[in-house]
Amino acid sequence: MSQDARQSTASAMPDAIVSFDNVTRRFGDVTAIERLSFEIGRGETVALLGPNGAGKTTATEILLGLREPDAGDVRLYGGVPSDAIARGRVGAMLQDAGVPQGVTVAELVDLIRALYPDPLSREDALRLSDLEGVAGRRVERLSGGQRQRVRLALALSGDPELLVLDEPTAALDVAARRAFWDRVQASAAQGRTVLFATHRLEEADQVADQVLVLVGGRLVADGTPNQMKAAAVGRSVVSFTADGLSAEVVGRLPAVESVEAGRKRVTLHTTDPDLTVRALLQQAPRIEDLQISSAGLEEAFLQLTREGGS
Amino acid sequence: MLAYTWLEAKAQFRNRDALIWRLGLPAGVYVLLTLVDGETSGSNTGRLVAMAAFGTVAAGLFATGPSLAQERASGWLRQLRTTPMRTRTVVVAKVAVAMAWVLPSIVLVAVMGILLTDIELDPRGWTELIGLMWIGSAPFAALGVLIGLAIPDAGAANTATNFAFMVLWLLGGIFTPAGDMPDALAAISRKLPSSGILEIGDSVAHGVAIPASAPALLAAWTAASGVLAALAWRRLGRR
Repeated sequence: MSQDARQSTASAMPDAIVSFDNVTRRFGDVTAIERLSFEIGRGETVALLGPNGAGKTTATEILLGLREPDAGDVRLYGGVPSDAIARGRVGAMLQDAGVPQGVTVAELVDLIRALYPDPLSREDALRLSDLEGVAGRRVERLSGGQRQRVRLALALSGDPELLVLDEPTAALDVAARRAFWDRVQASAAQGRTVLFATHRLEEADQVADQVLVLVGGRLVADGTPNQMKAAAVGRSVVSFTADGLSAEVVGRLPAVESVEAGRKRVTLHTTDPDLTVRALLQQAPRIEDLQISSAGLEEAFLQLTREGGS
Repeated sequence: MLAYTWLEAKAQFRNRDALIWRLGLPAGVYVLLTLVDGETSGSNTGRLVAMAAFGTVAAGLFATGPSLAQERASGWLRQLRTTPMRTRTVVVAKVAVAMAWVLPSIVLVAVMGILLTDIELDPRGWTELIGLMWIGSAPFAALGVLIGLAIPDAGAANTATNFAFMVLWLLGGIFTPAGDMPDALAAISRKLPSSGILEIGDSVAHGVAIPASAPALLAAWTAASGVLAALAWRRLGRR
């Protein structure tokens, strides 16, 4: 789970398609990503999960050769990103890529098909992106959801080996999001490698084989969704209302991992809620509104986010 | 490359405003002025060349700059950079399509001239006039590309294109011949690329040799705009 552990196993990955080795990129004083290292193997579906501003877009842009890193080494199919892109091995869906005015959906799909060595048929490309009904329509006359599917079509039409999707469902409602991931998973099932950036935990959980958690530009966790849940299992969240109980005192209770004290309400994370609560009640019998819940993936993510952000 | 140029051409020729501005306006203004003053003798050639130059400058600038800036701002150029297409293909396609606009624009003005006036030019003369003015549109397309690449904001690039057009139109000898301007302005006017294309057009229309200074001026503007555009391009790539 830790970054170091991953690095030692990752460097042994025989045919990594994507590899980041200590990649750093700054914008002025802001470090967008810091010593980021990970590898992605053939056929994997990997989520780059993190809150807004975590560096996900910068990481995907560096991966696609759209930005240069300040330090570190990025490899795509063993070479520099621009080589793999020039060979048509990569299809990308950027966060807010526009499309030219005055062209139809089918014409755009045909353009992408003409650029790649071994593209999908026009019919398949339109069907996979659910655009058959609007093939002859000009792109500027489409709805937001349809335009989003056009951007997916731009990524899929060339039938590339690697799909890179940056926040691909940002503009979609729940039903459209589900349909979108069905389509992506269908193409992943054909042996494609998929890397997608998202801030939605449930997407990472439901779609990805592997989740990379990025916070403040650093990789704070790396594992399968189940591994990450397992790390959170046994952790519980205890919260209660108490006046005059300092966070310091609460933090010294047995099995407590972290404490957040609001103005009235205190929330703590514990590996043994029974032990913690017993000790808590001994010290402060007058606490009110006690709530105990077990942590899920969301809790694990929030905790990682807190740790990474501090 | 061809696929992209073709798409670009289709997209631009579907633009009704562009059709009116770049094709209809030069020929329309030419016809209107000619009908109003009834000047149909050989002295009409100056106006014919000026309106052909007007179309050349308009198509060269407006088919490249604004759309390039708009596609940069919208992120389309970034999207293309994730495909196997070389991004300079976009620039080459823009220039090719701009040149494709220029040709019918000049032809339309020439056809109106043939229909309405007694300008004495044999078929070879007309072909030469159209062909040389067409080639002479290169600096305007290059200038448009420079504006589209060097000015990051789509709105600002639009304004800059309009400004460049006004300068070339009003100061560049199309609206008023340099000979009718005060000396200081005329000196500037004769250095602008529109003067070069007017001089080429006038020389061919009057059957005299083209002074070497005219193509040299056009070549210099093309080269300078091209070099600056390439520098702007490199700055874009390094991010």
